[in-house]
Amino acid sequence: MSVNGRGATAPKLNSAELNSLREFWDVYETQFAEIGAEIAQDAAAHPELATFVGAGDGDEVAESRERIAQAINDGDWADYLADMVAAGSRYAESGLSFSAWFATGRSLRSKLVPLLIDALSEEPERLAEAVRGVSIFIDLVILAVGDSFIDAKERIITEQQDVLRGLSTPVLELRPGLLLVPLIGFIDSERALLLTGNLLEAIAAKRARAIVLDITGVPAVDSAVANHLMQTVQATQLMGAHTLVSGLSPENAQTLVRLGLDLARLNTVGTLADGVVSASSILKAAEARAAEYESSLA
Amino acid sequence: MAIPILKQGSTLIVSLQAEPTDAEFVALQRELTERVTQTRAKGVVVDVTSLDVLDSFATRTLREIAQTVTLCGARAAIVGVQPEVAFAMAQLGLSLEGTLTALDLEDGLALLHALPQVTSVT
Repeated sequence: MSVNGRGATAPKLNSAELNSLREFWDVYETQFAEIGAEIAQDAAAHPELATFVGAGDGDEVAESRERIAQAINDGDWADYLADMVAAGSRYAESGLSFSAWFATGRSLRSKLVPLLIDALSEEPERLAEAVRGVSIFIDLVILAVGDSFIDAKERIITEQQDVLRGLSTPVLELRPGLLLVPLIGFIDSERALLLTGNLLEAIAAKRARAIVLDITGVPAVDSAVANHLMQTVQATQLMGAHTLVSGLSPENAQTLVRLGLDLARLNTVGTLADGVVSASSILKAAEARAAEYESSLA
Repeated sequence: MAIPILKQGSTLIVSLQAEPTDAEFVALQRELTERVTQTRAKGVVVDVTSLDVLDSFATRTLREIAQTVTLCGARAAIVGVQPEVAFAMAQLGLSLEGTLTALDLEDGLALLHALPQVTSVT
Protein backbone atom coordinates (compact mmCIF):
# COMPACT_ATOMS: atom_id res chain seq x y z
CA MET A 1 0.00 0.00 0.00
CA SER A 2 1.31 3.41 -0.89
CA VAL A 3 -0.09 6.77 -1.77
CA ASN A 4 2.62 7.27 -4.36
CA GLY A 5 4.30 10.53 -3.54
CA ARG A 6 2.48 13.83 -3.36
CA GLY A 7 -0.95 14.96 -4.29
CA ALA A 8 -3.98 12.93 -5.08
CA THR A 9 -2.56 9.83 -6.69
CA ALA A 10 -4.65 6.71 -6.21
CA PRO A 11 -3.12 4.31 -3.67
CA LYS A 12 -1.95 0.93 -4.89
CA LEU A 13 -3.93 -1.68 -3.03
CA ASN A 14 -3.75 -5.44 -3.43
CA SER A 15 -6.93 -7.47 -3.46
CA ALA A 16 -6.65 -8.48 0.22
CA GLU A 17 -6.30 -4.85 1.27
CA LEU A 18 -9.18 -3.86 -0.95
CA ASN A 19 -11.28 -6.63 0.52
CA SER A 20 -10.51 -5.45 4.06
CA LEU A 21 -11.40 -1.90 3.12
CA ARG A 22 -14.75 -3.02 1.70
CA GLU A 23 -15.61 -5.07 4.76
CA PHE A 24 -14.95 -2.04 6.91
CA TRP A 25 -16.74 0.37 4.63
CA ASP A 26 -19.89 -1.75 4.51
CA VAL A 27 -20.26 -1.15 8.23
CA TYR A 28 -18.92 2.40 8.38
CA GLU A 29 -21.25 3.57 5.59
CA THR A 30 -24.35 2.72 7.60
CA GLN A 31 -23.22 4.88 10.55
CA PHE A 32 -21.30 7.50 8.61
CA ALA A 33 -23.26 10.58 9.70
CA GLU A 34 -23.37 9.48 13.35
CA ILE A 35 -19.62 8.85 13.53
CA GLY A 36 -18.99 12.17 11.83
CA ALA A 37 -21.08 13.95 14.45
CA GLU A 38 -19.24 12.20 17.28
CA ILE A 39 -15.87 13.18 15.85
CA ALA A 40 -17.03 16.79 15.52
CA GLN A 41 -18.04 16.65 19.17
CA ASP A 42 -14.59 15.36 20.19
CA ALA A 43 -13.00 18.09 18.11
CA ALA A 44 -15.10 20.75 19.80
CA ALA A 45 -13.65 19.63 23.12
CA HIS A 46 -10.07 19.84 21.78
CA PRO A 47 -8.46 23.22 22.57
CA GLU A 48 -6.91 23.65 19.12
CA LEU A 49 -9.55 22.02 16.98
CA ALA A 50 -12.50 23.72 18.66
CA THR A 51 -12.41 26.87 16.56
CA PHE A 52 -11.52 24.94 13.47
CA VAL A 53 -14.11 22.23 13.01
CA GLY A 54 -17.56 23.40 12.08
CA ALA A 55 -20.62 21.22 12.64
CA GLY A 56 -20.60 20.17 8.99
CA ASP A 57 -24.01 20.36 7.35
CA GLY A 58 -25.91 17.43 5.91
CA ASP A 59 -24.83 18.08 2.33
CA GLU A 60 -21.14 18.04 3.22
CA VAL A 61 -21.50 14.78 5.09
CA ALA A 62 -23.36 13.16 2.21
CA GLU A 63 -20.76 14.39 -0.25
CA SER A 64 -17.92 13.07 1.83
CA ARG A 65 -19.63 9.69 2.10
CA GLU A 66 -20.15 9.64 -1.64
CA ARG A 67 -16.42 10.25 -2.21
CA ILE A 68 -15.29 7.50 0.12
CA ALA A 69 -17.72 5.09 -1.50
CA GLN A 70 -16.41 6.09 -4.90
CA ALA A 71 -12.86 5.45 -3.71
CA ILE A 72 -13.40 2.12 -2.00
CA ASN A 73 -16.02 0.61 -4.28
CA ASP A 74 -14.90 1.94 -7.66
CA GLY A 75 -11.19 2.49 -6.97
CA ASP A 76 -11.54 6.16 -7.94
CA TRP A 77 -9.59 7.94 -5.18
CA ALA A 78 -8.99 11.23 -6.94
CA ASP A 79 -11.86 13.21 -5.39
CA TYR A 80 -11.42 11.88 -1.88
CA LEU A 81 -7.66 12.34 -1.80
CA ALA A 82 -8.05 15.83 -3.25
CA ASP A 83 -10.31 16.56 -0.25
CA MET A 84 -7.65 15.25 2.13
CA VAL A 85 -4.89 17.25 0.41
CA ALA A 86 -6.99 20.40 0.65
CA ALA A 87 -7.63 19.67 4.33
CA GLY A 88 -3.92 19.15 4.97
CA SER A 89 -2.87 22.48 3.52
CA ARG A 90 -5.80 24.21 5.25
CA TYR A 91 -4.62 22.82 8.61
CA ALA A 92 -1.05 23.92 7.94
CA GLU A 93 -2.04 27.40 6.84
CA SER A 94 -4.22 27.97 9.89
CA GLY A 95 -1.31 27.03 12.15
CA LEU A 96 -2.82 23.82 13.48
CA SER A 97 -0.24 21.58 15.11
CA PHE A 98 0.61 18.13 13.83
CA SER A 99 -0.62 16.48 17.00
CA ALA A 100 -3.98 18.27 16.81
CA TRP A 101 -4.99 16.89 13.46
CA PHE A 102 -3.45 13.56 14.32
CA ALA A 103 -5.91 13.48 17.23
CA THR A 104 -8.74 13.51 14.69
CA GLY A 105 -7.40 10.33 13.14
CA ARG A 106 -7.16 8.65 16.52
CA SER A 107 -10.63 9.74 17.44
CA LEU A 108 -11.95 8.20 14.22
CA ARG A 109 -10.19 4.91 14.95
CA SER A 110 -11.54 4.74 18.48
CA LYS A 111 -15.07 5.23 17.19
CA LEU A 112 -14.83 2.77 14.33
CA VAL A 113 -13.44 -0.27 16.11
CA PRO A 114 -16.30 -0.64 18.65
CA LEU A 115 -18.75 -0.09 15.82
CA LEU A 116 -17.24 -2.95 13.85
CA ILE A 117 -17.17 -5.22 16.88
CA ASP A 118 -20.87 -4.56 17.43
CA ALA A 119 -21.79 -5.22 13.84
CA LEU A 120 -19.62 -8.25 13.15
CA SER A 121 -19.29 -9.97 16.53
CA GLU A 122 -20.95 -13.04 15.06
CA GLU A 123 -18.39 -13.38 12.28
CA PRO A 124 -14.85 -13.12 13.68
CA GLU A 125 -13.16 -13.57 10.31
CA ARG A 126 -15.00 -10.67 8.71
CA LEU A 127 -14.43 -8.65 11.87
CA ALA A 128 -10.65 -9.21 11.60
CA GLU A 129 -10.76 -8.15 7.95
CA ALA A 130 -12.76 -5.04 8.76
CA VAL A 131 -10.44 -4.03 11.60
CA ARG A 132 -7.53 -4.34 9.19
CA GLY A 133 -9.55 -2.18 6.83
CA VAL A 134 -9.78 0.56 9.47
CA SER A 135 -5.99 0.63 9.76
CA ILE A 136 -5.55 0.78 6.01
CA PHE A 137 -8.11 3.52 5.65
CA ILE A 138 -6.73 5.69 8.43
CA ASP A 139 -3.18 5.18 7.22
CA LEU A 140 -4.22 6.38 3.78
CA VAL A 141 -5.97 9.42 5.17
CA ILE A 142 -3.10 10.34 7.47
CA LEU A 143 -0.59 9.84 4.69
CA ALA A 144 -2.51 12.09 2.30
CA VAL A 145 -3.28 14.79 4.86
CA GLY A 146 0.21 14.61 6.37
CA ASP A 147 1.96 14.86 3.03
CA SER A 148 -0.01 17.90 2.09
CA PHE A 149 0.32 19.34 5.61
CA ILE A 150 4.12 19.12 5.39
CA ASP A 151 4.17 20.45 1.82
CA ALA A 152 2.15 23.45 2.89
CA LYS A 153 4.36 24.05 5.95
CA GLU A 154 7.46 23.89 3.76
CA ARG A 155 5.89 26.29 1.31
CA ILE A 156 5.15 28.73 4.13
CA ILE A 157 8.73 28.46 5.42
CA THR A 158 10.16 29.07 1.95
CA GLU A 159 7.95 32.11 1.46
CA GLN A 160 8.98 33.53 4.82
CA GLN A 161 12.65 32.91 4.06
CA ASP A 162 12.26 34.87 0.83
CA VAL A 163 10.66 37.74 2.69
CA LEU A 164 13.37 37.69 5.37
CA ARG A 165 16.09 37.55 2.76
CA GLY A 166 14.70 40.65 1.12
CA LEU A 167 14.53 42.40 4.48
CA SER A 168 17.93 41.24 5.63
CA THR A 169 20.16 43.30 3.40
CA PRO A 170 18.72 46.72 2.63
CA VAL A 171 21.09 49.13 0.92
CA LEU A 172 19.94 52.70 1.46
CA GLU A 173 21.10 55.77 -0.38
CA LEU A 174 21.61 58.42 2.28
CA ARG A 175 22.54 61.03 -0.32
CA PRO A 176 23.95 60.74 -3.82
CA GLY A 177 27.20 58.81 -3.57
CA LEU A 178 26.73 57.75 0.07
CA LEU A 179 25.19 54.38 0.93
CA LEU A 180 24.06 53.13 4.32
CA VAL A 181 23.74 49.42 5.07
CA PRO A 182 22.14 48.78 8.47
CA LEU A 183 22.71 45.15 9.45
CA ILE A 184 20.45 43.59 12.04
CA GLY A 185 20.62 40.05 13.34
CA PHE A 186 23.05 37.22 12.85
CA ILE A 187 25.22 37.23 9.77
CA ASP A 188 25.86 33.83 8.25
CA SER A 189 27.79 33.19 5.08
CA GLU A 190 24.66 33.10 2.93
CA ARG A 191 23.56 36.48 4.19
CA ALA A 192 27.07 37.89 3.85
CA LEU A 193 27.22 36.82 0.21
CA LEU A 194 23.83 38.34 -0.49
CA LEU A 195 24.89 41.55 1.22
CA THR A 196 28.13 41.78 -0.75
CA GLY A 197 26.36 41.14 -4.04
CA ASN A 198 23.60 43.68 -3.35
CA LEU A 199 26.05 46.28 -2.15
CA LEU A 200 28.35 45.94 -5.17
CA GLU A 201 25.39 46.23 -7.54
CA ALA A 202 24.25 49.33 -5.66
CA ILE A 203 27.72 50.90 -5.89
CA ALA A 204 27.70 50.46 -9.65
CA ALA A 205 24.10 51.63 -10.04
CA LYS A 206 24.31 54.68 -7.76
CA ARG A 207 27.96 55.53 -8.40
CA ALA A 208 28.60 55.40 -4.67
CA ARG A 209 31.95 56.50 -3.30
CA ALA A 210 31.42 56.02 0.43
CA ILE A 211 29.54 53.35 2.35
CA VAL A 212 28.66 52.99 6.02
CA LEU A 213 28.15 49.41 7.12
CA ASP A 214 26.40 49.66 10.47
CA ILE A 215 26.59 46.56 12.65
CA THR A 216 24.97 47.98 15.80
CA GLY A 217 22.21 45.39 15.38
CA VAL A 218 24.51 42.41 14.95
CA PRO A 219 24.45 40.60 18.30
CA ALA A 220 27.65 38.58 18.07
CA VAL A 221 30.67 39.32 15.94
CA ASP A 222 33.05 36.38 15.87
CA SER A 223 35.90 35.60 13.53
CA ALA A 224 33.59 34.22 10.84
CA VAL A 225 31.46 37.36 10.84
CA ALA A 226 34.55 39.56 10.90
CA ASN A 227 35.93 37.71 7.89
CA HIS A 228 32.66 38.12 6.03
CA LEU A 229 32.70 41.84 6.73
CA MET A 230 36.32 42.10 5.71
CA GLN A 231 35.52 40.41 2.39
CA THR A 232 32.65 42.79 1.83
CA VAL A 233 34.83 45.81 2.59
CA GLN A 234 37.58 44.59 0.28
CA ALA A 235 35.15 43.90 -2.54
CA THR A 236 33.81 47.45 -2.32
CA GLN A 237 37.38 48.79 -2.37
CA LEU A 238 38.00 46.97 -5.64
CA MET A 239 35.29 49.17 -7.10
CA GLY A 240 36.95 52.28 -5.77
CA ALA A 241 34.54 52.88 -2.90
CA HIS A 242 35.44 53.49 0.73
CA THR A 243 33.58 51.43 3.30
CA LEU A 244 33.44 52.26 7.00
CA VAL A 245 32.13 49.82 9.59
CA SER A 246 30.26 51.46 12.46
CA GLY A 247 28.57 50.29 15.63
CA LEU A 248 30.96 47.59 16.77
CA SER A 249 30.03 47.10 20.42
CA PRO A 250 32.74 47.19 23.14
CA GLU A 251 32.10 43.52 23.92
CA ASN A 252 32.50 42.53 20.30
CA ALA A 253 35.61 44.68 19.94
CA GLN A 254 37.18 42.87 22.90
CA THR A 255 36.23 39.49 21.46
CA LEU A 256 37.83 40.32 18.14
CA VAL A 257 41.03 41.55 19.76
CA ARG A 258 41.16 38.46 21.93
CA LEU A 259 40.78 36.34 18.81
CA GLY A 260 43.87 38.08 17.49
CA LEU A 261 42.28 39.29 14.26
CA ASP A 262 43.86 42.09 12.28
CA LEU A 263 40.93 44.38 11.71
CA ALA A 264 42.71 47.44 10.41
CA ARG A 265 41.15 46.81 7.02
CA LEU A 266 37.65 46.93 8.46
CA ASN A 267 37.98 50.73 8.81
CA THR A 268 35.91 50.83 11.97
CA VAL A 269 34.49 54.03 13.37
CA GLY A 270 32.46 54.53 16.56
CA THR A 271 28.76 55.02 16.14
CA LEU A 272 26.57 55.23 13.08
CA ALA A 273 26.65 59.02 13.43
CA ASP A 274 30.45 59.02 13.35
CA GLY A 275 30.33 56.74 10.34
CA VAL A 276 28.02 59.06 8.45
CA VAL A 277 30.20 62.08 9.27
CA SER A 278 33.40 60.33 8.17
CA ALA A 279 31.78 58.94 5.05
CA SER A 280 30.45 62.39 4.20
CA SER A 281 33.93 63.88 4.36
CA ILE A 282 35.30 61.06 2.20
CA LEU A 283 32.51 61.74 -0.27
CA LYS A 284 33.14 65.47 -0.16
CA ALA A 285 36.84 64.93 -0.84
CA ALA A 286 36.01 62.70 -3.80
CA GLU A 287 33.58 65.26 -5.18
CA ALA A 288 36.14 68.04 -4.72
CA ARG A 289 38.70 65.93 -6.60
CA ALA A 290 36.28 65.37 -9.45
CA ALA A 291 35.40 69.06 -9.60
CA GLU A 292 39.04 70.11 -9.52
CA TYR A 293 39.93 67.65 -12.23
CA GLU A 294 37.08 68.88 -14.37
CA SER A 295 38.10 72.51 -13.98
CA SER A 296 41.69 71.60 -14.79
CA LEU A 297 40.47 70.26 -18.12
CA ALA A 298 38.64 73.45 -19.02
CA MET B 1 48.19 42.19 -30.86
CA ALA B 2 49.82 44.54 -28.39
CA ILE B 3 47.53 46.36 -25.98
CA PRO B 4 47.42 50.06 -26.95
CA ILE B 5 48.70 52.58 -24.42
CA LEU B 6 47.22 56.07 -24.84
CA LYS B 7 48.81 59.25 -23.56
CA GLN B 8 46.74 62.12 -22.22
CA GLY B 9 48.78 64.93 -20.72
CA SER B 10 51.10 63.29 -18.26
CA THR B 11 48.80 60.32 -17.80
CA LEU B 12 48.97 57.00 -19.64
CA ILE B 13 45.68 55.23 -20.21
CA VAL B 14 45.26 51.54 -20.93
CA SER B 15 41.82 50.18 -21.64
CA LEU B 16 41.81 46.42 -21.49
CA GLN B 17 39.33 44.87 -23.90
CA ALA B 18 38.77 41.11 -24.20
CA GLU B 19 40.58 39.27 -21.41
CA PRO B 20 44.31 39.55 -22.20
CA THR B 21 46.39 36.38 -22.17
CA ASP B 22 49.05 35.92 -19.51
CA ALA B 23 51.73 36.76 -22.09
CA GLU B 24 49.91 39.95 -23.07
CA PHE B 25 49.73 40.96 -19.42
CA VAL B 26 53.47 40.46 -18.99
CA ALA B 27 54.16 42.43 -22.18
CA LEU B 28 51.85 45.21 -20.95
CA GLN B 29 53.70 45.43 -17.66
CA ARG B 30 57.07 45.80 -19.46
CA GLU B 31 55.72 48.23 -22.04
CA LEU B 32 54.01 50.44 -19.44
CA THR B 33 57.07 50.71 -17.26
CA GLU B 34 59.16 51.71 -20.27
CA ARG B 35 56.62 54.27 -21.41
CA VAL B 36 56.38 55.82 -17.93
CA THR B 37 60.14 56.36 -17.94
CA GLN B 38 60.24 57.58 -21.57
CA THR B 39 57.36 60.02 -21.28
CA ARG B 40 57.96 60.98 -17.65
CA ALA B 41 54.26 60.25 -17.10
CA LYS B 42 52.98 60.89 -13.62
CA GLY B 43 49.93 58.70 -13.69
CA VAL B 44 48.76 55.40 -15.21
CA VAL B 45 45.13 54.35 -15.43
CA VAL B 46 44.28 50.75 -16.25
CA ASP B 47 40.63 50.43 -17.18
CA VAL B 48 39.16 46.95 -16.70
CA THR B 49 35.51 47.88 -17.35
CA SER B 50 35.11 45.40 -20.20
CA LEU B 51 36.64 42.46 -18.37
CA ASP B 52 34.18 40.05 -16.80
CA VAL B 53 36.82 38.05 -15.02
CA LEU B 54 40.06 38.84 -13.22
CA ASP B 55 41.93 35.71 -12.18
CA SER B 56 44.79 35.45 -9.74
CA PHE B 57 47.42 35.99 -12.41
CA ALA B 58 45.70 39.10 -13.75
CA THR B 59 45.27 40.44 -10.22
CA ARG B 60 48.89 39.87 -9.36
CA THR B 61 50.07 41.48 -12.60
CA LEU B 62 47.87 44.52 -12.00
CA ARG B 63 49.33 44.85 -8.50
CA GLU B 64 52.83 44.50 -9.90
CA ILE B 65 52.14 47.10 -12.57
CA ALA B 66 51.07 49.51 -9.85
CA GLN B 67 54.20 48.77 -7.84
CA THR B 68 56.68 49.09 -10.71
CA VAL B 69 54.99 52.25 -11.95
CA THR B 70 55.30 53.69 -8.44
CA LEU B 71 59.00 52.80 -8.40
CA CYS B 72 59.35 54.73 -11.65
CA GLY B 73 57.92 57.84 -10.05
CA ALA B 74 54.27 57.70 -11.15
CA ARG B 75 51.08 56.36 -9.58
CA ALA B 76 48.71 53.80 -11.07
CA ALA B 77 44.98 53.38 -10.59
CA ILE B 78 42.90 50.35 -11.55
CA VAL B 79 39.44 51.49 -12.56
CA GLY B 80 36.13 49.97 -13.61
CA VAL B 81 36.12 46.67 -11.70
CA GLN B 82 32.58 45.36 -12.29
CA PRO B 83 30.38 44.25 -9.37
CA GLU B 84 30.45 40.59 -10.42
CA VAL B 85 34.22 40.70 -10.81
CA ALA B 86 34.69 42.33 -7.39
CA PHE B 87 32.35 39.73 -5.88
CA ALA B 88 34.27 36.83 -7.40
CA MET B 89 37.62 38.31 -6.41
CA ALA B 90 36.53 38.79 -2.80
CA GLN B 91 35.33 35.18 -2.76
CA LEU B 92 38.69 33.98 -4.02
CA GLY B 93 40.54 36.20 -1.57
CA LEU B 94 42.10 38.23 -4.40
CA SER B 95 42.69 41.86 -3.64
CA LEU B 96 44.31 44.89 -5.19
CA GLU B 97 45.53 46.06 -1.82
CA GLY B 98 48.10 48.79 -2.04
CA THR B 99 46.87 49.99 -5.42
CA LEU B 100 44.51 52.85 -6.09
CA THR B 101 41.09 51.89 -7.34
CA ALA B 102 38.24 53.97 -8.72
CA LEU B 103 34.76 53.41 -10.01
CA ASP B 104 35.51 54.44 -13.59
CA LEU B 105 38.03 56.19 -15.83
CA GLU B 106 36.87 59.67 -14.90
CA ASP B 107 37.08 59.02 -11.16
CA GLY B 108 40.50 57.43 -11.65
CA LEU B 109 41.83 60.45 -13.54
CA ALA B 110 40.48 62.76 -10.83
CA LEU B 111 42.06 60.58 -8.16
CA LEU B 112 45.49 60.67 -9.80
CA HIS B 113 45.13 64.37 -10.50
CA ALA B 114 44.55 65.03 -6.80
CA LEU B 115 47.71 63.23 -5.73
CA PRO B 116 50.57 65.58 -4.88
CA GLN B 117 53.04 63.97 -7.33
CA VAL B 118 50.72 64.34 -10.26
CA THR B 119 49.75 67.98 -10.10
CA SER B 120 50.56 68.54 -13.74
CA VAL B 121 48.03 66.09 -15.20
CA THR B 122 46.08 67.70 -18.05
